[in-house]
Amino acid sequence: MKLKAGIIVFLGTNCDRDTKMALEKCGFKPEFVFHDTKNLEKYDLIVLPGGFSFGDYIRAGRLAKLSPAVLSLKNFKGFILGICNGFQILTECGLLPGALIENSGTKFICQDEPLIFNDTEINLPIAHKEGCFWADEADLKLIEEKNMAFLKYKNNPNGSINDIAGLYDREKKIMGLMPHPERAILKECVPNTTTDGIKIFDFIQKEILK
Amino acid sequence: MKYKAKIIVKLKEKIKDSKGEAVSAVLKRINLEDDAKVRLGKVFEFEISAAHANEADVKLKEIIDKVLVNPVVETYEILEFKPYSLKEGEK
Amino acid sequence: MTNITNKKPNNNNISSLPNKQQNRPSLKDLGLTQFEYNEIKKRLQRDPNTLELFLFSAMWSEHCGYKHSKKYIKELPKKNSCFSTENSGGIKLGRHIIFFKTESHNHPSAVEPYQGAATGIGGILRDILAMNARPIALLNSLKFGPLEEGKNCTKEAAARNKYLLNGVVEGISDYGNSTGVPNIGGETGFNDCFNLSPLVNVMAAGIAQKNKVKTSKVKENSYIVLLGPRTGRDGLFGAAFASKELESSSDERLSVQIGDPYVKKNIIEAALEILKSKNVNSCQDLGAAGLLSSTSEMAAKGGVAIDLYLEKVPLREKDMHLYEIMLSESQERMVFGANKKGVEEIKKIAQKYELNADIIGKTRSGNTYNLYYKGSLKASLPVNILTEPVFYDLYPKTPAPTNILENKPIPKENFSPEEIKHKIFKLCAAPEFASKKYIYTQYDSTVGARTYENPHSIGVAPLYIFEEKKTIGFSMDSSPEKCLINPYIGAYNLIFECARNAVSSGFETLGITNCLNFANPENPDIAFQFTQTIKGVKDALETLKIPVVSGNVSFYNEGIDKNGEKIKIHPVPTIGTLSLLKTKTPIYSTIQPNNTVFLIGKKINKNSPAGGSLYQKLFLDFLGGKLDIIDFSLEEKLKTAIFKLKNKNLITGAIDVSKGGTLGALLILLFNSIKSHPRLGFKGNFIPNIHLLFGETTGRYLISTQNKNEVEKYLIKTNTPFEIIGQADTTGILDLNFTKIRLCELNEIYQNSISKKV
Repeated sequence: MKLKAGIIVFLGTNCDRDTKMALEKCGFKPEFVFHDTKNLEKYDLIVLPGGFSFGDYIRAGRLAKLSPAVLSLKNFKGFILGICNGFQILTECGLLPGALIENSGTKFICQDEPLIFNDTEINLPIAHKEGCFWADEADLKLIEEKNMAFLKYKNNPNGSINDIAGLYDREKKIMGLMPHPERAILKECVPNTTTDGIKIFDFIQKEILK
Repeated sequence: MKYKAKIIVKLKEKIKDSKGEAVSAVLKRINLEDDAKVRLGKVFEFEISAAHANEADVKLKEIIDKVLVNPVVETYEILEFKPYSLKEGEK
Repeated sequence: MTNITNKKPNNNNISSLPNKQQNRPSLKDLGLTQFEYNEIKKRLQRDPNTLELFLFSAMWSEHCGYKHSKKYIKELPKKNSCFSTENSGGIKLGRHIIFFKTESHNHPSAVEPYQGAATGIGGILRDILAMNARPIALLNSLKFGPLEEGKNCTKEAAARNKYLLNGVVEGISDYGNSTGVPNIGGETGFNDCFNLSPLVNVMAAGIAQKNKVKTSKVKENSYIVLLGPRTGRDGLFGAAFASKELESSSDERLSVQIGDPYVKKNIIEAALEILKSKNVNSCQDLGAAGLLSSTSEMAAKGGVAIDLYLEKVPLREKDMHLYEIMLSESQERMVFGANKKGVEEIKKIAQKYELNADIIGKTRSGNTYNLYYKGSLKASLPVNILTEPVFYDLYPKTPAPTNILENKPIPKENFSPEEIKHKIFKLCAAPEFASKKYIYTQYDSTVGARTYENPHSIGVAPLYIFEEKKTIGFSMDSSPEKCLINPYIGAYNLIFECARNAVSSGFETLGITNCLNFANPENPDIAFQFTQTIKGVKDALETLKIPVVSGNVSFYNEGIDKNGEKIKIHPVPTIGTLSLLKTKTPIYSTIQPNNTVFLIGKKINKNSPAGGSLYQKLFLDFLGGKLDIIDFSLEEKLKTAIFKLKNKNLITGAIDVSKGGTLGALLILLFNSIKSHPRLGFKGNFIPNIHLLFGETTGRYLISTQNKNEVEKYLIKTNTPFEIIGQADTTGILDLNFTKIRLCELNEIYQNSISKKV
């Protein structure tokens, strides 16, 4: 049986279709869920995709956290994945610690980025302007003690504290990351290298089935 | 009763304000100020309707906490918060 | 037919215009000539009222009416294109059509770079969207004055050029990235001639199912529905504005439109949902001259009459004149033609995306364009008269002025090896040549999950079309210096350079879109440039048997500098291409240690024509000399060679020889590969002569290979001219025989030169 994934679509979300394609390729059964939906219980996985929610006009992810779908995540029993803007939303609504502020270079950065994922090096595209992770000392201590930062930048491109590119919550049921695994799925598009995005989705699948 | 609010939201002092630093660097480069310590913020102007001052205060607090400010990284200052009326002189 | 009410202005918050002749703005202010005004009267067989005159002023402007260019651009070949007379043309790919089009936003960007560039992106996306095509790619071609003080560029001008570059790039970045359309390629050029008139040319591409395409042909008895934000005074007279020479004043900021990428993203999704309905028969975006040009265009294409009720247009500002409502260029709006059921569907979808949708008019049989306000008729014009301006002939200078620059004597080119070494550093630091990384990393090139990795280290940016399981490529290119020397040969060669870009990547060009940027065409010199450019493009396309699918013309790119001197831009035809992958996988412009590098194609010698080469500008401060002539059968032979060698897995990488000549091409191969091979080096046997090293003659590629013998055998067998120029290694040194340079040092300069300068 394929795992059911719900992809929340906010106004302004622009990685929804990419994420659906990626989940399908990686063996999930994904569908779109409009942001005004409250009942998410039928899904094994909820994905908050990348892009710009409600224009990100106050701060990235700030307005999306008020959507019914995000509000109901508090009691959601399944696995939650936030990619890029989704990660920003998860920190804004407090499901993950810390916050994402503007890149240290102040500019949008789009490039392939080498990352350390479970002690191996992988490459994923990044594309963000507010991707600099910040957390206070107490949160940071917790993050490092509990090994919550599962993904780190090899050459920190945006000033993130402790090179953090992706984060778990304490129970390892909520996961947020700035890079875009869904853009590194099609082997047609990367004739010369590997499709490292698949590794992230396979990992999530294993975590859910644990 | 209508109330008018003006709030400034900015990054906490201890957090690196990259944009502010970029502006400071420009000020230095053009020889206007060596160490301007520029910090950027956002200003929100909005109106609140409430029956009395207490209710307005509660509403204002809720708008700030729920929508405008992320307390992990940001602080705010209330620059202005006062009742007003459309008619001139009826403050 | 003159049933126009001549009532005095009413006292509502929308005042109708005064109709008395003496209260009218002057014809000059409206951008109309006395001749055009007489022609309007003659065709209408009456005087237009003031509102009508405003409508003509927009529709008969250069921007909307193409009055100086239409006679010429219609000569361009169209065979194998589809929908080339619509908002955007395209080319068939299996069961789909790939639409692509360029647009200029030069004048708005000169005044307000951030918004000017952003709304340029907005406009070109709407053109694609109006065909019911989902936008899948953006590209841009930018031209600025120099970033550093120089002979024809004051310190202030350089500072302003940096401001313009940063503003334009940030505008494209913020707007484009939000819309979720990947920005996958383009070019940026620098020249003194753009000090007063920067060029911002943008290109968008989209995909639609062949049988789902919608056009602007509105049917009879349709409701006209306006979708999007309320109408304000934004960009008023944008159409007239773009048809004017820029003066050095910033008051024109008033005319710049403000974009909203968040609303645009909602418009994209809403429009694509709306256009799925069979109850919606037509669609048009609101660009230049807003509601007026969009609805009159729909009526003209549909062959119907249209009645608009202007009190139904939701307004953002008070006291707007009727002409302001009609001409407003408030962004992110579209109009649809739909039946009753379609209107309901549109309203429902609009609600989901938090947009306004209002019925503002209706079509019926006939040929009139009627504007009503609260029941009274304010303007009534035959559609064909409104939408077909006077078309002008151009009067190119005779005899042809080309040989002036062509025959200019080339300065002496003898430099010592040590001097040439310095020049190599100079080339790598020159913004014209240096990596544009500072610019393109600010664009989201990977959203959509169709982009190939590293789209910037390959001749055309590849995009995977999973709908057809095919890979297509896009590029945008121009060569202002060569087009100034000889616009005919310059344009002809440019098309071939684009084709070579594609071939070097394993692609074949299917068609082009062009954005033609010129100064004032009423000037005989400029008329010459324009007509010759068109001829060059046409002849090249006919030789290659590919069409133009869409295009755009931008005139009046000139200004008056502080000394009162008129500064005209070089002729800049910007060519956007669509190509299809012909080899198993794309060929990147890369090299591996131990690869041998072959130069295939023409042999350059000391007498080869290389006019307009970058080295002449950088090292000799010279512009002139004859341009090289294309050898078509050689071009075809080289194409076959590259495709065959790639499909036999015999080559690692390839690059066409253009900017910077042979050495320039070699350097790019090396720089593109140094990240994966930090110890990369190269040893070759070069003659210390700048013409041979950097001269830009046509018909040449570099290919890198691990199979030296096999490649050599093939080239000899097929009688393809070649020469081995050297071999990559792991010494970290670029050894040219006459000089040695540490490659990482040179790479550092190449990669970071632009970010250091801005």
